[in-house]
Amino acid sequence: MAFHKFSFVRFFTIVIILYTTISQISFAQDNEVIVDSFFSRGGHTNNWAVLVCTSRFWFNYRHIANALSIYRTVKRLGIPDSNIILMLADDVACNPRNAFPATVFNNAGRYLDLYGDNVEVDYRGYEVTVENFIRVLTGRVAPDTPRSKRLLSDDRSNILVYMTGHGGNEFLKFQDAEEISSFDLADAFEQMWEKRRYHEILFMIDTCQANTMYSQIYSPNILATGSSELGENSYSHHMDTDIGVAVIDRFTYYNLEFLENVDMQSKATLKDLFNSYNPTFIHSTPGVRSDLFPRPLDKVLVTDFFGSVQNVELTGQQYNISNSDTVDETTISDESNFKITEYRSKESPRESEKPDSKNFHLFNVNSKQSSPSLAQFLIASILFGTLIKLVSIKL
Amino acid sequence: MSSKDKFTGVLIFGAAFAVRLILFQFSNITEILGSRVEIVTPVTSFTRLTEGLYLFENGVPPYDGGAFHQAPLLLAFFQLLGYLPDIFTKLAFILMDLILAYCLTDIAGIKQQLYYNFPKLEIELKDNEIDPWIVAGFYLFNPLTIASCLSKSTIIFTNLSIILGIYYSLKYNKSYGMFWITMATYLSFYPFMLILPLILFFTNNAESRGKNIKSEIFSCVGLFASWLSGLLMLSYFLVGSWDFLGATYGVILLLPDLTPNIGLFWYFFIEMFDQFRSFFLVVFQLHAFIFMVPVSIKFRDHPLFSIFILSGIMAIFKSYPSIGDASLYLAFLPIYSEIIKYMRYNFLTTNIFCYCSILSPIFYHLWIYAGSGNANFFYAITLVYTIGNIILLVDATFAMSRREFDIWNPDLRNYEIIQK
Amino acid sequence: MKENNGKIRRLIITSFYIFILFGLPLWWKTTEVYRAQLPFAEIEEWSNWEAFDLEFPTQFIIYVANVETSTINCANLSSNLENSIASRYNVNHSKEASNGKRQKSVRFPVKIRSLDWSDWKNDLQYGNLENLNLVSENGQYILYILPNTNSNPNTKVLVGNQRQAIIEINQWDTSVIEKTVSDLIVSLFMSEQAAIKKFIIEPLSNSKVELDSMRTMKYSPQYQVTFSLMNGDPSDLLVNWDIEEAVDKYLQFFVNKISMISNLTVDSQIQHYARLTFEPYHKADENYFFLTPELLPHFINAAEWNLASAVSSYPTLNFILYVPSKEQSPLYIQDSKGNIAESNAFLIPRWGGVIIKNPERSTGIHNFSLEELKSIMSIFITQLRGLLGVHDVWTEAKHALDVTTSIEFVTPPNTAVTMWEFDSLIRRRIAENIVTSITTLKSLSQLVTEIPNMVVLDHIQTEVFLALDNLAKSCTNLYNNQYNLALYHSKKAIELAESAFFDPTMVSMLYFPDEHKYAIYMPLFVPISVPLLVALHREIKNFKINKRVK
Repeated sequence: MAFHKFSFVRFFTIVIILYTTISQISFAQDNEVIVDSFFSRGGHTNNWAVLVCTSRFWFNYRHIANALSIYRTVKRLGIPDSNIILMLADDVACNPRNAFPATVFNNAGRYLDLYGDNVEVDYRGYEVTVENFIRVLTGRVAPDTPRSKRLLSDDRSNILVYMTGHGGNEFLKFQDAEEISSFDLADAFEQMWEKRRYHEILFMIDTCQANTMYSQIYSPNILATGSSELGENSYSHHMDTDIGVAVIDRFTYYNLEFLENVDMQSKATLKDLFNSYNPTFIHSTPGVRSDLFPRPLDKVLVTDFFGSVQNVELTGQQYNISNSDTVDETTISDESNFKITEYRSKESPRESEKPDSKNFHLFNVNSKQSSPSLAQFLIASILFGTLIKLVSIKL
Repeated sequence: MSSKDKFTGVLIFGAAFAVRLILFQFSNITEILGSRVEIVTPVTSFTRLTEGLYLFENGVPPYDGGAFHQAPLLLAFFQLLGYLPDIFTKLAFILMDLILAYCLTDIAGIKQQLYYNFPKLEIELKDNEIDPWIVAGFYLFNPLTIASCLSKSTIIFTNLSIILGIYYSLKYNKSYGMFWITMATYLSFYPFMLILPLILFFTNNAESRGKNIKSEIFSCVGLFASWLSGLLMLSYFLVGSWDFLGATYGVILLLPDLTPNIGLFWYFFIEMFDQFRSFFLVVFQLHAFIFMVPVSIKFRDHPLFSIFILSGIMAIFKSYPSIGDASLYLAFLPIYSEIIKYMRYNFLTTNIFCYCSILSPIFYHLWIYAGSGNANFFYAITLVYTIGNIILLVDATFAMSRREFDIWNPDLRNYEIIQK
Repeated sequence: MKENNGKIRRLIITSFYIFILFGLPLWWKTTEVYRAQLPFAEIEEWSNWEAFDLEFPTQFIIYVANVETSTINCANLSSNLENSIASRYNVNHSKEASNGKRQKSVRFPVKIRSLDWSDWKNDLQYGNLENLNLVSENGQYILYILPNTNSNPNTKVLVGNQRQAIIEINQWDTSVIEKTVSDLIVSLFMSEQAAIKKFIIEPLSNSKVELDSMRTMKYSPQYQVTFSLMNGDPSDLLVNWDIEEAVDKYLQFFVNKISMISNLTVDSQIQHYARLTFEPYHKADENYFFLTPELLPHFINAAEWNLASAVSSYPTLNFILYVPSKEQSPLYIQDSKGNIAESNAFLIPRWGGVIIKNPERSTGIHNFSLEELKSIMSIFITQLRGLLGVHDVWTEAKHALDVTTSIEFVTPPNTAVTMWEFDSLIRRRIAENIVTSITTLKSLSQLVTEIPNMVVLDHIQTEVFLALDNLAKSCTNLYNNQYNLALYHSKKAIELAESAFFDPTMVSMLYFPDEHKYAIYMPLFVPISVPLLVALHREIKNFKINKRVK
């Protein structure tokens, strides 16, 4: 297989380069062992994916199918569920109008059930809001958010952000009730950059006038691609007559067509992916924005974003641990004698500023109950009544 | 009044009493009507009152549960009523309706007396004025009133206080008049805006009764303030602490409870951004009160009419309106029956009331129980109802102004008047 | 009735406007955004490095054996050593700030004290370091210099694991002693300084592939360490392991030691039917299966292996002991030259490590006993050290020394980390925490300044002040050579800074563009204002006409 051999040669050159830099490493007792390793050239160590479908209602079946297709692809290429945040605004699998309950298909042939086993939806239904999306990206989640709903990326994470739904000129509609604008998205990415929450981001969006959505991004290391230009709509690919609605969008369909040929060891680059876009087939002009992205696209592997190719480093020697039941190590008394004076703030930070939700029904009133003196009340009311009568007579 | 009138009166009151009593005998009429959001609101609901009463009788502070938002003196009243058998509660509600209607007849009579000397249109010279008993009849047999009474909504207390306040003020009894309007304010807060027309009652005829205008105003205001503080002190003695202020007026003003009703506030504040909530609360409450001064000034010669308009505004723009408020202000319309001929949209408003009465329960059911509608359906009907009320009020204002103009300018009677 | 119509009309309109005027201050009051004041100037000072000088001082006490034949002048020795080290250390690393105002600088001052050591023959035999009674702190190191007893031509150095070292000099001469000692000190500390310097002066060079920074986990006050035993096919071989005892025996000391820097919570699991996503290569002639380094990146079957912790949000370190299925046994890792890797293990940077073991299959069940786990744990510990950032002192010291010097390192039996390594880790983490806190606070202040509508609550302000306070204390502690306190304060500083930056209350205004304001005010106020403005306009027109008439 020529492909296999070619990659082996390439790998060999990498090893030679690394060899010269790593050859000095040695472990205990003077053994010189060369440690092999395979480090991705991009410099990232882990991959995350944030996949968002923002539409609800049955006729937006294809948007949920889009998001689930990309979900399946990134899982297949190695990103674990713990690193995927899947946000689906509606549950079409269990919609009463679904003729094939508990399934979601992206093809009229119904070859593959996207919603079968092993699907973990992190934000579902009404939890998919602009606020939650921004919270996920910037990391400002409520303290009790479970781990699966957090984006725990660091400065060496490559993140794939995929969004699909209904959009327009510089906005994307969430749940038929609110919108996120391209400025908000750009600001959220800038927040992530400030806090070094990503190494590189691939932002992919499939909506009408999608390319306007990434026009305002200004943070470095972000590569963006969208399905249609300003003024263009994005179209669905085909409909399943039994399900009754369109099942996949064109842009996503052609992306998937390319990605189905990519496996974990593939050396396909993003340039190949973007070159495969054909506006005649997609019926709209997909766009790519790479001015903020430092690496040339023909050096960026598809699996840098869609898969999770981990770096490895072979372990040479091992640490020598003795039989610990014989030796009690002499501990040096050193650091345990320092005192820490803790500065206690006047109030504990959390409980002071909890904003009261204004829309609750229970009115919390801490009442000091002094015994209702009925006698006092009766006397007072009688006096009051006579006072009124007296005044009325006088005036 | 002649014996014939008395007979009509007895007939109307008797029939009203009978209708209510019979309808009360349907075992769960109170629950059915008492659970409809158009008829009861969180600040007038009888079920919440029983909840608060139960807590109160068992020594628990009645406002702690967060369900009870009504004035403490109602607790006292219903506690006393609780010692009597159950039928007496129902009789109490019916009785209050009847007293209210009786006072309405008196008010109608006094109004006709007051207006006796004013010029009239030629067409009105032929007709008799409306029989005061018929006025009461319109109130008693208004379906909105009957529904409100049957649901044991406590808005009846506010309505009764307002009417008694007007009654005594028309009789120039300052103390009682101010006391009852204070009671209405104490119970519901919004009747505060009726102070101004009531003071106008006293000042309009001040010279003829030999009193100084300024002293009238000061005494009215002073009485209002003292009776209000007296009522608040009484409440304090009853429940033992001041939290009832937050639980009653706080709820009315700050709207923590967003149960749907036929008003405008709840929908708006459900979807309001949190940071703008307090601002819009201020705007909406100010909006209810902003009409107090202009309307009173415009109709300073007809304070009863301005009470009519202000009650209408109260029924539309208060925070938790119900049809009980509507029934109050609609009761004033027959008193001013002479303007009805000038009103242009009678057909429209009647139809709107009918449509809303039918569609509102349907859409509510579709929204909450069937799940195939959403809040917009119900809120749309609420808006239509509000528009109906507003058209009625604006129409009445126009009719009154036009009639006034026509009376004082007989030569311009058929001309169309526009403002430059 | 008609006379004062105009006056009445004006009165009515005025009454409307008075109400509105009354409402205007309420509008201002109810829509103001609560913003607690943050100390922007102070944060600016810190981020421009004007507020502090970063120093990592070290002290050396050198005991020079008192050899009668040639005495060494201790005072001279001290000063010469200080000078030579100063020149080699390039003590003052600094970088010009972009606006030329202030330089980012970090200093590594060295103090040396030489003492005469008369009792050396009795106190010490080479190799017998435990006899010495030592109380030392991070930053204080003791060197013992002896003359060479045997006829070994080379200088021998024995570096202990408790911050001491013994040097046997082959030539008892001042210059030779100076050179050896300064070589040793530089070799032990140079790489750490380079790392710190890099961290502080050039923190942004993430784009390149740098093995060390890519391998080491970012600082976190707690890590979750999970040991997983993955069995490829339990139908053929059931596996079990005495992991709890192994952790108690071999890992516990390390965990306790590291707990000063970060807490490690350890748990373990066994997973069955853990298949690989691909088929390994088969070496037909020797009948074994092997994986090449290029296949290893796909080893972890993330889709099917359940490796993530659902409970804690702290970074996880996964250590996997993999037992392949019968069809893929025995499984080895081959390096690029075709040799089987001895340890059969590999490390995944910032993730964890994997060992592949091929146990006996005859009995159908295999329990990894404590003895077997010893070698496995030693590999895991090596990998864990690498992931936590412990740099092996022996690898880094070696290449800086002269070839005539032979150097030996004592390995600590239990704790898996020598004091030299531990100190170095602490120093590097202090630097990392300080720099990260400063950048976090700077980002926070930038964010708050850029978005004027953002709510800043009081507790955020408190946390920022406390973070700055802790930063100051940390730097002061560094001056005073109190590394442990400095670490404590730097930990608190970064925790507070992160908590302030990631506070959930700051999201509300992030997606609220100004156009929304129009959408909020217009529907209500434009229709209301139309009649009011028209009436006002009409009145003004009338007023003007009347004035003209008059």
